[in-house]
Amino acid sequence: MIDYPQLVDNLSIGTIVINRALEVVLWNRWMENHSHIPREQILGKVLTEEFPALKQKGIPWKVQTVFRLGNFAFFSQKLHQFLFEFENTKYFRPTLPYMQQSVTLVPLKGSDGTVEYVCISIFDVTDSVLYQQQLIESKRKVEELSKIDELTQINNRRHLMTRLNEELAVHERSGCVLSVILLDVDDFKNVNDLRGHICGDYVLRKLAGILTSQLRQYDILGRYGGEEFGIVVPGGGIDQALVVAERLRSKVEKFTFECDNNKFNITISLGLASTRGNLQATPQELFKMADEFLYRAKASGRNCVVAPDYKDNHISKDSILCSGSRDVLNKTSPISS
Amino acid sequence: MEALTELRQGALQEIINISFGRASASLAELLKVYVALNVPNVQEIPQSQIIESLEQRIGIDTDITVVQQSFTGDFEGEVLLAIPANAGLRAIKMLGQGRGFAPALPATDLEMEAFLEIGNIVIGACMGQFAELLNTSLSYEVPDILLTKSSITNLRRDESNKDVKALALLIKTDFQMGDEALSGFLFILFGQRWFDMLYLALDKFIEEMT
Amino acid sequence: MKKKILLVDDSMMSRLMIKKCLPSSDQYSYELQEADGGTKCLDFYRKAPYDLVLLDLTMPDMDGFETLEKLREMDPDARVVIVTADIQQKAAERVFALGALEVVKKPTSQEKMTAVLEKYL
Repeated sequence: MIDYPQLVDNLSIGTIVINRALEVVLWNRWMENHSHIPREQILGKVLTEEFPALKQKGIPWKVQTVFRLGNFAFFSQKLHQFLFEFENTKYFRPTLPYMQQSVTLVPLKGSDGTVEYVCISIFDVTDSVLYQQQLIESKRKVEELSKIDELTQINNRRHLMTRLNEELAVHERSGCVLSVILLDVDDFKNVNDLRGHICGDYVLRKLAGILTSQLRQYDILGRYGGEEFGIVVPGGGIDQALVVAERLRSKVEKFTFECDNNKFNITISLGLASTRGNLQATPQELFKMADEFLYRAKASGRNCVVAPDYKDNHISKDSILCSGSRDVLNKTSPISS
Repeated sequence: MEALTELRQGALQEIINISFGRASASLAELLKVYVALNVPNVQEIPQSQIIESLEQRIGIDTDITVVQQSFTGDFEGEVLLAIPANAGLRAIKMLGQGRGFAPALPATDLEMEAFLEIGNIVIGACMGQFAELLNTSLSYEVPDILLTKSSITNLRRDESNKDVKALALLIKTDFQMGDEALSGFLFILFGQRWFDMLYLALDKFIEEMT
Repeated sequence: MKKKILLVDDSMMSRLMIKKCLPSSDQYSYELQEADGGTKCLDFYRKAPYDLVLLDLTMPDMDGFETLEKLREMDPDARVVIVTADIQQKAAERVFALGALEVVKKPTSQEKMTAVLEKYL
């Protein structure tokens, strides 16, 4: 004859049996060990009074359904984390503050088929929860890595284009205009040649930081190529993008870079484009257009912003909006207000 | 393998009908609502077409939440309960009014808990009666939410199960609970491995009853 | 004269199960006819009334509640016993309000069906 009490005591599963009055009639050794309550102390006591937190966890309801319907009931770790607040006791492994528990309530029927007792089994699922968390975290990291440019820690070109594509779809539906800015460090080759690649990398990292600090939360910044950066300005026309671009240009112009105890300044040129008049524009078309205006900015003496001017939703080739250093401004038409 | 004859199909339908009738009586008592039942539909389908036939029966444009629960014993299988996605609040309200279902959880988790709870009660009550009529008992595994407020097309079957010829027994019934009209579909799937056992039990039932 | 009974149930199996519980026709001298749905039940009854109708509740074409209601409209004296798996209190209240004589739970028994015939034929 199998010694069932011994069996129950040696299970590595918490086992409690309660009667209709919710009084504890069985409390196995696992429960003694984790709750630090010896069975002499809890047998005959009402479970939900000894552990009032069980009421918040909806246990009386579940026990009720088991007694009335004779079905199994379950208590989900995903939703509740744990039923009993037991501390984890693993010293050599990473763990969670409380033991994660999956709980099953099973009806114990008498000879006439009515439910006489409910057995509550508590499974410690902390380890699988941890593995699951680690898996989710590594998946997130991989995803993140595939989106981030390693040097500047901002979006890489691919993710910038993906985000732009998403934004374009939203804007097309809402009929709102979206703008993009393409910018390039002036004479970056000089920085690299005169001060070395380490200094060049520092400039790109620092620049990414300046740009990030100057943008709104919903603007999207990414490294477009070598020393080129792309910015998506959602919900903004050229006028708004021009304000952003000019703010960036002026911030960068005033910033003092410091590398190997040498202090120096750099400037950037910026070209703009928008979906005005062409809400179905593709990301490639938009950046191609911005690139054309960036080229014009370079041709106008650098350290300036050049943007298309619209007349009746069409870009007027002759009239260009521009801002920048004083000498550039003098050469071209002023910004329209 | 012997087939699902008309007689067996009729018997299965009748057993489901009676067991769901008993289950709804317990549910009605527990939740204090009237549970309207429909005639169950029993069909033998290839396992590879389970998703397609669920799509046909539910419609791909309806967003649903699906609770799944496996059962084991003399027969093994699983039950899917599909509830319209917008039924969450009604479910919470119904359970709350019924008998103090009020776990302290954030809103979205509470909704999931209500779905799991309804799923577990409906599935457990129906399958429990079903097993009893066939003189056996079943054990149940932890219910799971397979799909949250999404089209049935997003439910993917286990592609590792390559046995395309294997059959499944699909039993569909719809129910409606209370004036709040919480309705849903219940599908019971038996794997082919268990048909022998099931048919044996059905034949015994037919012999006794007719 | 032989009494006429109409058994209305969409499920063939269910009709078989009920028939098995009915006492033999020589013992009670009745004639049994079957209908597999509410619509057919009304058609049959319209042609010639029955002394007793055994009616199921869950049927696909027209459910038992509707059938009962229409039947009692057609013949306010129609004698109807409900034989159903729907054993909820609310269902019973509804059919009694519609004029049903009794509700018999499925699966039924020989004792139960004999008692029903004894009482209502």
